[in-house]
Amino acid sequence: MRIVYTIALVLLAFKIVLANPPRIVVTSPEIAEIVCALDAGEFIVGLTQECDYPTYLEEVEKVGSFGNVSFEAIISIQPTHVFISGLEQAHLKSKLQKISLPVYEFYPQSVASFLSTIAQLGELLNKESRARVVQDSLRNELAQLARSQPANSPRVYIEIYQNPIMSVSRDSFVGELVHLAGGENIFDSLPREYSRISPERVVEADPEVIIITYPGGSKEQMKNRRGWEVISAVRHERIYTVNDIDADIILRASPRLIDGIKALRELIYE
Amino acid sequence: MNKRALVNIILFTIIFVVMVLIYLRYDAASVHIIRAIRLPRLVLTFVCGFVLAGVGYTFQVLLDNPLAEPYILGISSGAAMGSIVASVLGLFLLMPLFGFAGALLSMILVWTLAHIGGYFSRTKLILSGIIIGLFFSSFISLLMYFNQKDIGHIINVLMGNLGYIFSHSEWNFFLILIFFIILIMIYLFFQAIRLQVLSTGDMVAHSLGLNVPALRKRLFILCSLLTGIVVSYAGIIGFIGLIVPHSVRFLQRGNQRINIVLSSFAGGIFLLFCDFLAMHLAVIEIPVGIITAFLGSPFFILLMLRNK
Repeated sequence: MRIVYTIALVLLAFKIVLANPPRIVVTSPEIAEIVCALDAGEFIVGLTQECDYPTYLEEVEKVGSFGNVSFEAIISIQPTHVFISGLEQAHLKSKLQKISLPVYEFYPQSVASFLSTIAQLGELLNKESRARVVQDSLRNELAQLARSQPANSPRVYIEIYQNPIMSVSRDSFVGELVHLAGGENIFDSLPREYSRISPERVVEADPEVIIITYPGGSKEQMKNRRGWEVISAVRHERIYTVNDIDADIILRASPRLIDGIKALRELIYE
Repeated sequence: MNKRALVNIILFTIIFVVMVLIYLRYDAASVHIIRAIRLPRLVLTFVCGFVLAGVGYTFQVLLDNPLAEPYILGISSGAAMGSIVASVLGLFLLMPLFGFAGALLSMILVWTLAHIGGYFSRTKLILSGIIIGLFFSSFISLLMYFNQKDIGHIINVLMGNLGYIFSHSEWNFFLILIFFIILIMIYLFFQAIRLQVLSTGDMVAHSLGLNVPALRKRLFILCSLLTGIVVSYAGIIGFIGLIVPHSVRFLQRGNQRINIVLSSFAGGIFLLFCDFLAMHLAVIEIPVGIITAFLGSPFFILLMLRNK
């Protein structure tokens, strides 16, 4: 009799697993891009507002914004997987775990951890083979980019915040991309990945290229900064804003990082 | 001017010169950087400290309250809110203007509220200031909650930041502003004598021929304008207006007339010191408001104990 019960239970579980596709809530735009690259985009049932790529994600129900995720919205969707980012979303993990929702935290801060995130997500979503394909393709493209890198490394200053001015170190994702693109980040070694910096250091380091990654930053404003007129990048007007490069492809750890590196390379070696 | 006052003036001047030299020459940089970046910062810092201490001294006498400082009357919250609204809207170049508008708004509100009911008292003024200040602070909190990505800008305003990056036109405008600040401060210095009379009490002051309401209004407006300007450029830097006037009074022991001038001077020097620490104490720059708070809080406690 016990055997009958066991078999019935197993069949039921099997049926449940087969019959119910995963329902995924993603709160981070980069994870959303990775999930879609793994051909699991159709299973996404909840997103934050900033998840705007691929564009078909616009129709998916929203659960708040990146900095303000709606706990209730997530619960009402009844997901089977919740993928959150680190930093300000880390507190969501304990909250969601308390109500037994499977929540996974992904915060890739380097190209290497980005590639392993693809593998981890592949495993979770039963898309291991697709994950391997994506990983291999990315690795090939990265290798190709490394091979075709020019010999010189122009000095680059990346400004990610205006008031106070902040830049990135080698440990940040965008810092690593700039390095892969061939540039030498003048703030390679900062105490944190994203850190406040002093305008004196920028003038001292004399970057040849300046990239402003926040919207609203303008070339004119930077040129007008008192004391900055002696910087090479300012003298030769090699200042690039979000009008010249899509910030999302260099700030997000997503498959589009290849496009990001190529776009950066174009700007750096113009 | 007696011997003690003279000694203090010489002492402060020496400290001032030393502080300026350290500020400019520490961590040797090129002449261009010193001239184009450090010097403007030094000027902004000194002016802010100068104004905050002078206004603090004036408020302490005006309100007959040793714990009064430029921020007690809610002007700083209004100015901070103005700056924050500008930054949240992305209008960074207009932060000083919006900040100043916020200061004006809170000044009008505080003054009106203090006169409700037809009569005025110092207590009512302080209470109005606190109420309006709280109101604007709540508004700031609301903005913080709904604009998480602008948290950096908001913290900058709330914790003080003397690293304002001037464009060429902004710097020229600021120089003109300094000219007016100096004019107003000189006016305040000359009012110092009247201030002393005011501190003996409204009735006595009036009987001595002083037009109390007019003077009070004038001083309130001028001090609010000055505070508004400082907060617009540098955010909220607390404790300078509180501890510097008291320290100078302590050093001077009764020589009233030039106290306000010395307080302002000392305020400028002290803020230079705090900003220097803010820039070089840790690996990255600490907001200067934190430094003044750390230095000022123990002093505040001491003051409260002494005034028991």
